[in-house]
Amino acid sequence: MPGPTIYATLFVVALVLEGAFVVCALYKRDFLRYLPLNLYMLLCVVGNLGVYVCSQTYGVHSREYFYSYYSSDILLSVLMYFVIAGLFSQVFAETNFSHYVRGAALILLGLTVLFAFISVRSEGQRLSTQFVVELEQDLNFVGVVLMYVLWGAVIKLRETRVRLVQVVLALGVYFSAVAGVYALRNLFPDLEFTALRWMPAVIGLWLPLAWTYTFVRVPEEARLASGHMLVTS
Amino acid sequence: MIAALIFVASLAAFVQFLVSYCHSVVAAFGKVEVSPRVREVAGMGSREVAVDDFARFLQLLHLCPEHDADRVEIRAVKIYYALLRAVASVSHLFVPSVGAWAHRERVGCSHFAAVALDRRMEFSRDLFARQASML
Repeated sequence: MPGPTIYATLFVVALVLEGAFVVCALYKRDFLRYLPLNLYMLLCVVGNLGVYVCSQTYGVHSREYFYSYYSSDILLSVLMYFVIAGLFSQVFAETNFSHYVRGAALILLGLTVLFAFISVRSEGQRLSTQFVVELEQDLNFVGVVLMYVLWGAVIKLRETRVRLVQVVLALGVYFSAVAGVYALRNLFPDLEFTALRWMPAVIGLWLPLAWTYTFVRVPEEARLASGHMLVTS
Repeated sequence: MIAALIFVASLAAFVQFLVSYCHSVVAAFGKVEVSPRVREVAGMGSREVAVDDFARFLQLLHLCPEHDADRVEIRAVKIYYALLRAVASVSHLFVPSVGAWAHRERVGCSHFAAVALDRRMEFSRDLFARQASML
């Protein structure tokens, strides 16, 4: 949870980048084609605004700010599974497995929401930093595993759509970085007051930045040379 | 213990995803041919783009007027190229296959720089043409 000055700066940069992504998608007429990504970014903007209003009203050291920051973050992590489910169905669109994949993704989403809900409920009033750090670590690590499975499918199915490949990889970078930072915070709680505290917010800038780059610079019809992605597998 | 495992697994995944992402950015330019104009300016003749051409293409890029659209990606590929050079110099003695992979990736970076140079030259030519028409 970042402090006031850093938070204000990160807030403005995040808002600009997330807004830029949605505007780019609208301008390039890709909003509906990549609906889950755009809805997620719009919800990020709403979430950021809500947390910012909370920080201005109650102060960044208040309990209200703590709850609003982490609850919106956890909610967005769960919503991110919709984005992943959308990417899975795009990758598997031309196979017979697409409806199974969608079903599996929905079951996983349900289980994750249930797990998060039960965990938060069992904590009740004493929701602590240690607990949210652990929950964030687990939620993001599930994301890493899912991205690994998706990346494996991209390689196996010889996916050549550059946009899709870059969106998947950017998401993989994001999840693994965030899960790593939360795991480090969980391992060394004494580091809580160092840069690690605001690292997840900094890493959060990566996703709109990378996705905007992809949508601006890579046309929808761009394709990689067949088998090119196998080079780094 | 679980946190330590998650940290190690996430770190490994992060490196692999980041390298693959950089590869996809560079590989997206792989299908674009290096133009005769760039070959002439860089003194390449008819040979293929090589690893060592990267520095020369960058020098030539700096001679062209700055273009906002490609500044970030050129900087990102410069960092990626520097990382690959470090990987290549460390690994070619111990893990030759990784060294060979890093070499191929660096050739891709050189190709990317050649295409970026071509685009900058095109941009500069348009700029000069616009200025000439205004006079």
